[in-house]
Amino acid sequence: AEYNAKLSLDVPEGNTKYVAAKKFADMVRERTDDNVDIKLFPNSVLGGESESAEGIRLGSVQMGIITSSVLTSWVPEVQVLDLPYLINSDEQAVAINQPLTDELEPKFEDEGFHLMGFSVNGIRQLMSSTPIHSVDDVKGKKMRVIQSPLHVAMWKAAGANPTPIPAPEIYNSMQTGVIDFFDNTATNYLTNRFYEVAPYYVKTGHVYAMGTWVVSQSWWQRLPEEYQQEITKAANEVQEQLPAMRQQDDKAALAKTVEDGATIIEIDDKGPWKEAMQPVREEYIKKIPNGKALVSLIENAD
Amino acid sequence: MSAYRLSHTLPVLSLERAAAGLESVVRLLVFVTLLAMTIDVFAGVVSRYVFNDAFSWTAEFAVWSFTWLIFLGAALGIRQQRHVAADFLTKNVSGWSAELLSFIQSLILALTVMMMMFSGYQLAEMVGGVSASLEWPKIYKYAVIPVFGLIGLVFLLARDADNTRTLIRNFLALGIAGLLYLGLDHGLLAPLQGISPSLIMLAAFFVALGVGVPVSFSLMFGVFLANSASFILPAPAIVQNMVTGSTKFILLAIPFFLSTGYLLNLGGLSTRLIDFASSLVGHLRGGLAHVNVLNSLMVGGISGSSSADAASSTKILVPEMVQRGYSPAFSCAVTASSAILPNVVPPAIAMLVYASVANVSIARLFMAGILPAILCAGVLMGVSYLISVRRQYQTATDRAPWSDVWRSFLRALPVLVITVGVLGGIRFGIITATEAGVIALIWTFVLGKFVFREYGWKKFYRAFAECGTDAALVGFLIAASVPFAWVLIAEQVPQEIVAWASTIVDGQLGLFIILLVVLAAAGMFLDLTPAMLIIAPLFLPMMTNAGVDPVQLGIIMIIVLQLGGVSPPVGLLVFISSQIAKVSPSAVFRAVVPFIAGAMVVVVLLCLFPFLTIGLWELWG
Ligand code: NA
Ligand code: NA
Repeated sequence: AEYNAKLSLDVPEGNTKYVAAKKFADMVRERTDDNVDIKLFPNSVLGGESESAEGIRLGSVQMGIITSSVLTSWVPEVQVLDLPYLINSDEQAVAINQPLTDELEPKFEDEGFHLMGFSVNGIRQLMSSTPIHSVDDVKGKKMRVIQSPLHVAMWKAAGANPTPIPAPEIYNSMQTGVIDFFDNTATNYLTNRFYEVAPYYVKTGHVYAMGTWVVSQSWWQRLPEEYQQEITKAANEVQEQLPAMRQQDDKAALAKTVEDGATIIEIDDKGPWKEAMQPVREEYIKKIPNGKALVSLIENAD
Repeated sequence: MSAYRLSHTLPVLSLERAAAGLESVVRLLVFVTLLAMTIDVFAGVVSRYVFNDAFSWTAEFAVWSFTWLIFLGAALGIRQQRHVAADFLTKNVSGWSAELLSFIQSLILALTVMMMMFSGYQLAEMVGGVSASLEWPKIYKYAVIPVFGLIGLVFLLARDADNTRTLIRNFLALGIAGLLYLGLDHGLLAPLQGISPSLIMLAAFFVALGVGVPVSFSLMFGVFLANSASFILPAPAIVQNMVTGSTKFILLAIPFFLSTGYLLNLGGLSTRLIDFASSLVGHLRGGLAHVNVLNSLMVGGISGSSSADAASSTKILVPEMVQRGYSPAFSCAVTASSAILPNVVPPAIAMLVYASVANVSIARLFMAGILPAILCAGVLMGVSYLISVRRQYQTATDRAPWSDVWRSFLRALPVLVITVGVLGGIRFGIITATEAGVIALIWTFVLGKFVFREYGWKKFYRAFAECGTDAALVGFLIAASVPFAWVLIAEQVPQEIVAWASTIVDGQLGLFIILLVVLAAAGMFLDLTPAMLIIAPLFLPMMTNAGVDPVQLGIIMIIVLQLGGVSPPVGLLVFISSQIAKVSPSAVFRAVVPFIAGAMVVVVLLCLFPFLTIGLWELWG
């Protein structure tokens, strides 16, 4: 092919994100008459998400579907997506894609990324060694969070005792009691066998983990305009199909874990959780550049 | 007359003085960085357990410090010529050809350092953004690479420069390297475009290795040359790859376990272990050989470094063995082959490296090493026994009375508790591997410095800076292996080999045979670290699909790759031992054969019976 790209993924083959990326790559190949060839590199073989993001800036990797929180390093505006209970449904997640992409594109461009849109990676739920039914049940418990001051603040506000621990050490930390619970997505609950050490899956749905489709700016600018259009179109089509694909995969993954002994706990009233985290939400809306406008853009997209 | 001589020696003298001054500054920085890391990780433990509130920034600060430590220590390693190199060619030449070889080494080193320096500078400029927890600009993390480059070039200029002629030679090497750098930057290798980058990389690597360039720089040289021909990776991304691959949180344990082993020797604590081993097995036929093996097993429970064990065992035990009539080659062979044990008994650097690529639980991996290590030790002692009988080495003497055994055990106890504490702490989830390393280090320091009062502050300063440099050299080797593996993987070379291999066999047994052949072949030429980083991610999916536990696979990989350290042509552990004992490496390579055969038996058992590796965890679970 005339134009080659490496697309880095942090998930194994078969994961929803991989299947979607594969669909996207096939579409692009077909619609550009084999002139644009996107190769997938799953399992973080080209590096984890943070390394891949740096690689996209530097041009060693051309594409990635990277969790938005990783990109806050360069574009602090996207931290808005990590605010608790900002996105509450798949429909809303799809609806914000276009306006948010339009709004943030220049910021990404300034930092060496071409932004191709957002899609839901999964919904953050709690996974715990003991049952959690209300926000009081997390009080004083040790929790693993991602390396993000916002997530630390959010869970401190809820009364937990959060520690940032690298993802590969979650299983072990749970098994040995370094932590009591953590948050993650349904497919990871199955593929990382988290249900073995955290048999309670608690549907708090506090954050929608959004995958950010980013392309290396230097590679993008070398493409003829017609290919750019085809790629963008293919990306948007796949992004739209993703929630349905993911819902199905989440359901299947959870069913499998329940078979193996996991218990699903529904949280019907999310009010107290929202309330506990409200001060952090206010604080960060002020901290995040353009926070107020972005929040109202997301809240009003439907 | 004297004025004439002065004019020739003045530049030599002032350059040497400048380099020595720079060396002490860098040493101080290495010391401070390692100390900062130690205090930082320890503060993390204390905050969590004493104040029940974790700092969110300690892990990130440790990662940043480790990045700085690696590159500062690597620069110091250039000055002190401590980067590991294969010397099979350089040792056999003299006179003019030796001079030429040394010139080529300087040239390749200088070129590689320049490439790292300029791409590091670009990286620092391009990366942008702030870090997640500390919210520090990332530019400061990567700025250490151009700093490393500048310091490295000064040290290269002063390399062996004790007279005007060598000084001119170094100037020439640096000058030509600079011209070559510019040439490469302007497409000097463009005619090679179209040739597989992996092929160019491997060729350049082996050439550099052959002329005696250290392994880590040979790897980097290969990557940069391949890249100049084909642009597979933008230059700044190469050094970014080095940093991100070598500073994963789990690898931070390396400096701590390495330093613990170092302070063990400094504090005279290791003789307590040897005395205890002697009281247990010294009376058997071939007594000192058994002491040698048993000592490595016990030291292995504290330190995770095979090369450190090979060096210290050779210094302490080989002279005594030779004095009692063991052949020098046999003594070195026992030492080198038993030096694989510290990487099989937990904690082990090789396990940290494996866990960092395979995403397996380090606690399970640690537990899985215990039985295989005991088996290996048993086999090595068995082989030693048979050879000792045949060669009439050291006849059996009276067993030490139980009171002596008890006394030497008590003397060794403060050291042995480290093993129990580290393993128990990790197994029962009180601490992570990195934190366990810090606690072991602080415990050893307190024992040696305050309880047994074996050394003063000055000695400690020297030793701790040495530890920092050694840890940096290990980290730098990992760092250099990462882009090397990246190019191979991005070109899908190993993937294709593995795919091809899996078509010709099926079933676990067939896969194991292929794995062992690939590992043995890689281990012959490559150091454990690069070999692990290239092979593990490829075999892992295939083997786990066939139902092999990744932990079992890891232990097997570690042992087989370690055997590469005692096999020709590039056998690091044999080189270390024979160099210190001043014995010919080829004699040691011959003497080591029965030990390798014995260890291979253990490997086969580990392939056949998963219980031997993963069973202990399940029993204790
Ligand atoms: Na030994
Ligand atoms: Na060890």
